[in-house]
Amino acid sequence: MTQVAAYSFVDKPFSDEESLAALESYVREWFMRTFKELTPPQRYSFKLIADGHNVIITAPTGSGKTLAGFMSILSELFKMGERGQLAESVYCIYVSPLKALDNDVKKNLMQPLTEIREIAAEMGIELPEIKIAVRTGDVAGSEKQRQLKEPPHILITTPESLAILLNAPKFAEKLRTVRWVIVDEIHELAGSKRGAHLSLSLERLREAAEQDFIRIGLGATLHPLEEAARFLVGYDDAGRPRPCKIVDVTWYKPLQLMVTTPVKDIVHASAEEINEALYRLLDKLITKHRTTLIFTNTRSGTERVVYNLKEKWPSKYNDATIGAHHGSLSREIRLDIEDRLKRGELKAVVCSTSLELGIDVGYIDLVVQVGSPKSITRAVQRIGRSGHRFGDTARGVIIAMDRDDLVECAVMLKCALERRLDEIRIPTNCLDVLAQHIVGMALTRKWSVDEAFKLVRRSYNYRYLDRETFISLLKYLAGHYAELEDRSVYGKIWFDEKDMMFGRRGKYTRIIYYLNIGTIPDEVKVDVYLLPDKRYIGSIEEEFLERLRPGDIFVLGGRMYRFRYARSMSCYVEKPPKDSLPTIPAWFSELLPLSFELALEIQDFREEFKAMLRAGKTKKEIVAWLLRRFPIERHTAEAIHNYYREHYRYTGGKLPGRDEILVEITSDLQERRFVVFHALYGRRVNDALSRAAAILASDQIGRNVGVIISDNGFALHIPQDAEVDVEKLLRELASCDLEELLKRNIRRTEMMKRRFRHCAARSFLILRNYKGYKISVSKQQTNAQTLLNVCEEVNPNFPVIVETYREILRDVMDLERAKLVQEWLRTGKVKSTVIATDVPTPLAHNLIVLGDADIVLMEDRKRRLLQLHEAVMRKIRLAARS
Amino acid sequence: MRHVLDSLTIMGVAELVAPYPAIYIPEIDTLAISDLHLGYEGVMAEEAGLMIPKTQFKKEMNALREIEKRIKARRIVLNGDIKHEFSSTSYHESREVSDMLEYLQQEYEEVIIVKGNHDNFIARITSRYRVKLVEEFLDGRYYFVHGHEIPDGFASKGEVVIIGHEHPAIALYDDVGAKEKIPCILYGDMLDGRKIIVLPAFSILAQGSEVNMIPREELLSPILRQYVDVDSLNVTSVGPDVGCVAFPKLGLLRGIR
Repeated sequence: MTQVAAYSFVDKPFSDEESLAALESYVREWFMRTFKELTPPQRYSFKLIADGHNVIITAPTGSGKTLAGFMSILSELFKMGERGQLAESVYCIYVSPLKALDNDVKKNLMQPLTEIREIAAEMGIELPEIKIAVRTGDVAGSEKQRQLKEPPHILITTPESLAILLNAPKFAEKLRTVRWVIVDEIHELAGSKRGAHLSLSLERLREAAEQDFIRIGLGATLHPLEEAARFLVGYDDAGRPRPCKIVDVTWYKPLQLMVTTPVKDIVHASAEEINEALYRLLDKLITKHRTTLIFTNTRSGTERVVYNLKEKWPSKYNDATIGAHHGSLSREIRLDIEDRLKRGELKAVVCSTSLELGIDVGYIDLVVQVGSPKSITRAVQRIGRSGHRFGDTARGVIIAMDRDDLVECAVMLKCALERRLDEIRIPTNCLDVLAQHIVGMALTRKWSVDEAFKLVRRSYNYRYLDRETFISLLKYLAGHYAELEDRSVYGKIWFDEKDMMFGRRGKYTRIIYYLNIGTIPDEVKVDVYLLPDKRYIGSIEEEFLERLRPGDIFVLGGRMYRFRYARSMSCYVEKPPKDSLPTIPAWFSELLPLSFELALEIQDFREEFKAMLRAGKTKKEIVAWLLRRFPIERHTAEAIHNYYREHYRYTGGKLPGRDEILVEITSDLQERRFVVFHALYGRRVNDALSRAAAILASDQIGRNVGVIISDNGFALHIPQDAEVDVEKLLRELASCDLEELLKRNIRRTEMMKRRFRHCAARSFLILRNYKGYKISVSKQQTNAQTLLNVCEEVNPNFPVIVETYREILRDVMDLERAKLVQEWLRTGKVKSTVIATDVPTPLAHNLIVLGDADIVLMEDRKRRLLQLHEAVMRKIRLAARS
Repeated sequence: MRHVLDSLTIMGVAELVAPYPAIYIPEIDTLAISDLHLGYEGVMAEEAGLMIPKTQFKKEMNALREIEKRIKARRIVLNGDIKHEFSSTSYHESREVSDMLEYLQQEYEEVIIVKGNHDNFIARITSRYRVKLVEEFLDGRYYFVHGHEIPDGFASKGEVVIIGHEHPAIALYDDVGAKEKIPCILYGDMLDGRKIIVLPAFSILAQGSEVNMIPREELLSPILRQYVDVDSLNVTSVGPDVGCVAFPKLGLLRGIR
């Protein structure tokens, strides 16, 4: 398909004179009095936005991005005010994914809005007030009422609140005058369903607006920017992308990066020693810098780090000097930490991922990342949070916690320094998100199917949606899956198939839309009670409960418990004996996946490393080479060297690089049997390959097969008394129709149930809020499996099921790249080598300890039951004998 | 296939209508089922915002027709929890209950409904049909109660006690940790020497108790807690999708890993 490239990179900044000339005199005067010079993004944006271009700008923190987006708009608004053209209506909408960022932006705009008027007054020009207001879920009803009476000229909001505003009968009127929309943190939004949701909101806004508006995207770096630009601006009705200018000033900020480990020898040090050393290292880094921002990837990690630092050095680290920041903390606590961070009162802030985004974090001179951030882009974004002032250097230290981490981070930082990023993936055709918007659209007026379909296809995310799917969604929302007389309960829209029109239905629909909108899934929580007095101690996820066997020991809130029994949505546990160890790893669901690009870089690195080992290079030579090549210290280089040399020696030279998948048949100390695939392709590709391999293995042996998945490979957990023909399995894995195989069998995995519940909630099939009440899961009483079964019986192409498959195959898994790996296997570009080991190889070890991430069930439930029956009888006979 | 039973005789007094969760008692020419939870989806949709399609009624009706084809009984006993909602009777429930009673009164000479804890307000519907609504039902040595409470004079009635309410199921795990929850019928001797049969739920949607996991004192039915050593009961899986397989006594299924 040939398409005119409507987007274009702008490589040359405008001169400061040109840029400032684009502003009204009083705005220019304010800017020159306040700042010495324009920052790099501003040298592009003032003029481009004033000239009416759509533009996407990526730049690091501290580069004056907010003003880069707003300056020309303020200027234009004041000009309109000067001429008396400013009505009581909304002209500019700013959308960010974070409420905190919204509040920040408003605060930061207050100064220019006030001061520009003062300067104009000095110049003898009377300017009206430009009104600005924040509209998020946190805003009180009285404030919303006030906003309706006195609409702001600049509206600051979130994607969810924007979608609600589009349906607010009176306020939506005020949005019709919109001329500019700014989307901030576009790098965070573009790759998610939240972004798809926003993109439809923008098209709905466009449809309601009097004129086309200018779209401005702001964000940290991402790749490829062309895709992000198309996501921002969408398409016209002829299917051409709307024009957009692209400005990338990510790289002007110098980076200073380092990978390190807590101890010199991370293999032989005990977990305790590593932890102790980690805190000493963190203390050293914090002490040497003014303000340190620490990322831990998980909430529990954040809590642990803060707790231990306070415990070990109470005079240095206490509530006055250090704080934790993550999504489970209350809003008040988070705001307090943010404020004190901005004021420079804290020595260190520890967060999971929550401070990765936008809000102005004030003066930070070091970012520490504990464990791998898993993507080059994310590493650059996070480290870019340091060096607040324009012209500062961004400093980052990554602390690798194991040897795979270490290699990963070394290669990652090298890529970052070479400015090579991994690719963003923008989800398309998300039916659950579309379902929400169709309900929203139906609430505003009657639509012809064609007209609505055209609107939807202007969004980047729905560019290739087909009409049939769109109609299936309309039927679903109209409750056509229920009997005619029940449709008043089940239907959320009215849909006339003969005239191809749809519109609103049902007295509760508006409230359903308001209260259930959004894309971030609520996990289904099971309450946990401690026996004997059944004291409530916390909650776990439904899927985690399904994994627990009586007697299993797991960690919750930092303490260990032994599982006894469950009853629908409650789980009963007891205290385990002292010195017990967890028998089941903590929940693993939301680990960040390693990007495919980075995975291949690591493979290349292994390949080079192998070549050096083959050539008989000494440790000294290799360590010297590593030190030249990567931002690492000597002991880190030695650890990498030892890791790979050990594996190389142990396997007789089989260090799997770019041309080889090593398959290892092995068992662990508990004599559990595994087939380990050393396939370094990142988790999303391995999510696909591993399930396919497990399905093939399960069909081969007629048994259930466990699956362990990581970024560096995957393993099949095989029942003890079964024998897998691995060569045959590999041949089938290389030659099968991967997509077909997965589509037909993904039903047999646990992932399906979990994702189905999420999609069902997003599609308004399961409401979290109904008739004004928040619904507890225990009231819904039905497990995900039953829900799925029932929907599937009624219609295997039920849109919620279709969306679940799509999400799994396209968003969770990277099917395209998995197919690519398959092709490499078929053509011999990658060969597979099978080895058997008594003790797992060093590379396999990290994988096996993870525990099963999923189970692929054998197809036939009746046979499954009979096998269980046999196993039970065998165990009982054994028990009777002993 | 081995182990799958086509029929099961329960303690010489009743037969399981395999693979359905129903029993037939020849001596009194009576068919018994329990816990139908009609109107489940409708109640979930209206009360809990769970908009799942309705499938249960059709499935239960199909099962009843299959059972009727196999066994021509004079009488049918619905042993409690005919409908799902406790507090009132929703429109969905009354429609499904009506339709089912319509069918049952055509096929059976006598239809007995033993009230369960979900069956408040059901008299409004049953009064329109040729059915008998009772708190408990005794015929010869057979004594039907739902099982959510211990009725007055419980200890002195009948020789074979038939209850529902518990929705018994067993949970089993395979080598790699996959869990299967399997609906079951339980039967055996009571502590006082009478016999007991615990009927599985006829409903496909209502959740069951994992009786091999839950300690005796935590079971739902006070009859099972006080009058029975549940570990001594026999266990047979039930249901069209799993088939009928006889398992060892419940006590042996505890703590199996």
